Amino acid sequence: MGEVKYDNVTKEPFRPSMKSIIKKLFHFHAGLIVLGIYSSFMYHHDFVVLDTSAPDSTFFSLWVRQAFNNIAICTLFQVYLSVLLIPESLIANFLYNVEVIEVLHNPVFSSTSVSEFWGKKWNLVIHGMLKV
Amino acid sequence: MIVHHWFNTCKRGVFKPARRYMSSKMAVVWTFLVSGIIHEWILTVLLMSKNKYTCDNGTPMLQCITRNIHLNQTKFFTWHGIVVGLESVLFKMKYVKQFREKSPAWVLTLLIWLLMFPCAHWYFDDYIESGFFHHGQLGIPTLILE
Repeated sequence: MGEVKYDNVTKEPFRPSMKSIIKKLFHFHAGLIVLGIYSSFMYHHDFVVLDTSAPDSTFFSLWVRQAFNNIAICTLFQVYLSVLLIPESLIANFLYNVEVIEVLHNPVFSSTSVSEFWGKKWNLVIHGMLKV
Repeated sequence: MIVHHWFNTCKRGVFKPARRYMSSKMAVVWTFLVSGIIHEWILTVLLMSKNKYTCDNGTPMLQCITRNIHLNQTKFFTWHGIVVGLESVLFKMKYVKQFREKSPAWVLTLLIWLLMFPCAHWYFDDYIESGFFHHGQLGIPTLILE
């Protein structure tokens, strides 16, 4: 999964530099440690941290608990994608000598609107596919 | 490249035809709806989230699939399409613009969490039920604390 990154002025694809490859390798290994710790925590809870099946819960408490669970699993999904897509971009670097776009830009913790979340932060490859 | 061909197919297939028949806001909602239907297909047919128990006892495959479609993915993506459509209307208003300029980014992030995440289990429950995360755990270093 990847989309080639082009220079806006010259319309040529960006070439990967040694610095960016080393940076990606560092991010991959550091990210794998973070992902290991966080996903172990989530796995221990069967990926649902707070119980939402209690029959006596009010609407508000259910709302808050579901939001908490969903933020936790969405963060896991984000870390999954951003860490495990680094090797794929490295494959593109080595095989085709092109730079590919970053798929995620920390959507859960840095978006300030829902349209920014979907349009500029989350899965930009699919975004390029669906919109002109 | 094949990938480029697929990009162009989707642009021509989803957003542009929608733009011909409706306003751009409705086209956004339509694009989200199509995303929902694609996810519905991926999770119900490919990942077999809902029908993993009922398909064991010899019922025909097509019957289990149609019986167990609950349209959760479609609900989730339609909700997000509506929210994005509303945002494009709201953000033109003077007071909303002022509020967004004055308040710090983390306040806005918290506000959209309240909009997005209380119903995000429509999206994630299917992934959890289908064993997507459980199986993915095999490839990741795991801490086991007893």
